Amino acid sequence: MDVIVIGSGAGGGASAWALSQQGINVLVLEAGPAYDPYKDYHLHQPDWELERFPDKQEHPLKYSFGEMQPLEKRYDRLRTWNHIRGLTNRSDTRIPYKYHHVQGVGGSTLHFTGEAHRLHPKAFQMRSQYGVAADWPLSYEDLENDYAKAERVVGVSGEDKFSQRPRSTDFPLPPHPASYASQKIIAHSHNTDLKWDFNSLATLSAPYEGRPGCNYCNNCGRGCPRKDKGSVDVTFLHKARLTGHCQIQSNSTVLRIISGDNDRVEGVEYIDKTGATHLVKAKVVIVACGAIETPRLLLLSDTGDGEQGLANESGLVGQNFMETLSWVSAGLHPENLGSYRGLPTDIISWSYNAPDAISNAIGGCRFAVGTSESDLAGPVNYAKRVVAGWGLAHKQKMRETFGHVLSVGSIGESLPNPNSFIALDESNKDRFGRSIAKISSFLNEGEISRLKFMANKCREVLNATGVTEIFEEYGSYDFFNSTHVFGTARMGNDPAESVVNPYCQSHRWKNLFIVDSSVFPSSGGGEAPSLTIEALAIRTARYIRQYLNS
Amino acid sequence: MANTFSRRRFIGSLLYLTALLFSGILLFRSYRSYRAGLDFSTLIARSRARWRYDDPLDATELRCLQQYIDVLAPDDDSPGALKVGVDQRIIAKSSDDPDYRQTLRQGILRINPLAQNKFGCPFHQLTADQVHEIILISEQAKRYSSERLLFDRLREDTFSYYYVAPESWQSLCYQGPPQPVGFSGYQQPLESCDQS
Ligand SMILES: Cc1cc2nc3c(=O)[nH]c(=O)nc-3n(C[C@H](O)[C@H](O)[C@H](O)COP(=O)(O)OP(=O)(O)OC[C@H]3O[C@@H](n4cnc5c(N)ncnc54)[C@H](O)[C@@H]3O)c2cc1C
Ligand code: SF4
Repeated sequence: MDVIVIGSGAGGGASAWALSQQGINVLVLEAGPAYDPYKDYHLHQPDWELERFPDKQEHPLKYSFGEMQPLEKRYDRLRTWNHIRGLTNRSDTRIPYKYHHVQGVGGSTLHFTGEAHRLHPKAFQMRSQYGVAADWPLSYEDLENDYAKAERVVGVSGEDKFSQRPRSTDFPLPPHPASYASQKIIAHSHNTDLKWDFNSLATLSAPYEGRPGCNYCNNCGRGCPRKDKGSVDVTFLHKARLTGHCQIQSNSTVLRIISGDNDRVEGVEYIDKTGATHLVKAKVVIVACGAIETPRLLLLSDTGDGEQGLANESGLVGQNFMETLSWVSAGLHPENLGSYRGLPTDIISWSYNAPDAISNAIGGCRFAVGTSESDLAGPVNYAKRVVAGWGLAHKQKMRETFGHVLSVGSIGESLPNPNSFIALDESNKDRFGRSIAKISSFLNEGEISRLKFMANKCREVLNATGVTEIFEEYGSYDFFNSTHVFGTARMGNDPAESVVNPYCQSHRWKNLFIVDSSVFPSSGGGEAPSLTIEALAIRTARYIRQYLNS
Repeated sequence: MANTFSRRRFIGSLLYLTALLFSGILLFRSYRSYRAGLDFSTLIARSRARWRYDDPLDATELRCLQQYIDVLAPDDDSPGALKVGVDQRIIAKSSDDPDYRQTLRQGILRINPLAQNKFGCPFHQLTADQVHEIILISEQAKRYSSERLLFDRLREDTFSYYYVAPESWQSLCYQGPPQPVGFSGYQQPLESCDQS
């Protein structure tokens, strides 16, 4: 085998495609099962609303949490609440809720919303320009071409009016027209200082390469049964298979990477569905398990000379963990907007996305419509969370209220700090007897200031749009609740300050590459990460080809 | 003789110690429950339910549940929860999940005396208006009391199972589920039910 790719999410899937279409033979080992969008997703069933993403099996890989930080009275306005249930976290400590992800062929993109963003050009220089996090060892311009390639493979629909990201090509597809509910926000935007763009989305505004256009069911997070959402299984991996050079093996969990002589790794040991273990050798190994599992796998592997922790010469594997800093406010609009229709996050505001855009905190953020992402797009959640009470009055109120919810969300920059990291949890083992990953997370003052800004703006947008009553708000202040995770195997030029070089290659282990959001030196100002991961994978694949030829 | 005496004393002390231990445990549990905001009636309901952990809900308990569910989502212009089979789904869930069944049973054990005190008959014999009053009391009870847990569980599950029934969607003008047709008129306002 030329290359083994561990993990088949955004990083693994894009790597598999970029390598196999150059004629390089790739074996993808994926811990989770394969999903068939036509059979495994349930949006056509009456009880579609009862589960979020329909996980086919319990995740074989688990994680735990370290101690969480205490909450402070002065930040009470940042607590999660609902008008029926009251405070969701009644304790005086932050609650570790969830690292949202999917283990399966396609990884977390099966569950993702489909936002396809390029990082803001200024986000690549956080240390030199703003004194925080670390600089990327490459620039926006270095990645621009590969962004465009990734957009073409996925089929991104979009338009750029205000996003300040120079483009060499148009989006492959025109933007999706805004839903009626989102049009309301745009129409009232003069009441705030936010400008709104059509979001760039990995969902098809027109048929594309054999996939149909979106039919605006507004539930991408539950898995798209039409295959028009550009998750990695129906885009990169599908195309990789067609090359004849890519073999994808599901239900195959890599237990360790085997180190060899001359600063090379030899291959991997994995366990299959039947419980049998196998050793496979390859010229190159790519780790793409996501920013929690990648450091775990590296820490569980050894260097062959008695040192635990592969590629950890800098001691930075697992450090610099960055999470999703998010806020959502939801309220009722006086008009029945039918807000359960459309596409999740169809409009976006980049007005505060630049790292220096918020006056009292370094790091940007973005705003988007969040009605579907907060799971307020169906009658069950209305009945439980929106309409108080029960009985005849509740039924009547449901009729008056259904379709009125408007929700605005924000995701902001998460910056690394010494108390946020991933380590091995020696006292908790997975079913294969290996220590699971332990997530330690801490929000410092900067994060909390940014969160305050985000919360206030979300409320402002709702009010400006005519919402008088906010009934629910939630955010990262009192819950760890992450969909985007980064930083735990940072890239850089200096081997003492980073785990991989600008081509995602381990500084010491020349045939070991890390291609997922672990390598991000900074998280960006709320941009969704998949497109950047995919662009990095395409760039790295070119380098791997040179490496294999040399 | 000496042997018999000391054996008797030994057994006596053993009994005494056991009693002491039990009261200690009881006291500790009561203290813990008190700290958790639970009242004495809730504790009694819980210990009574514990003895029947493995038993399915009996006919009276099922009747209580149906009364309760019927009032949470009653018939009006659209069919109520019982008509769309919500009770059957909740009963099925209680058969599969003993902890869930326990929560229901403990709650029923609490609302029965409430009904008895207030209306002079057990819950399953109440009229809909009377059930309404008992549900109101349960809704306002302490957060972890058995009657409040019953209310929270049944509100959650009644609405979950009721609003997944397409019969409940008509009066909301909701033309779900989201697939296979999606919502093609999503850019336009909702003017009538036909357009949703
Ligand atoms: C609800 C939700 C919404 C999101 N919305 C967006 C969005 O709109 N846009 C966007 O860009 N991003 C979004 N994201 C984030 C995005 O999905 C992730 O950032 C992206 O998928 C990360 O890619 P990855 O390759 O790093 O990891 P993943 O996609 O998580 O893939 C890692 C894969 O590796 C496998 N794996 C792990 N360990 C092993 C092992 N030892 N052996 C074998 N296999 C292993 C896992 O099973 C998994 O399949 C969202 C995420 C969630 C959960
Ligand atoms: S909104 Fe479009 S992309 Fe999303 S699940 Fe529905 S059809 Fe698929």
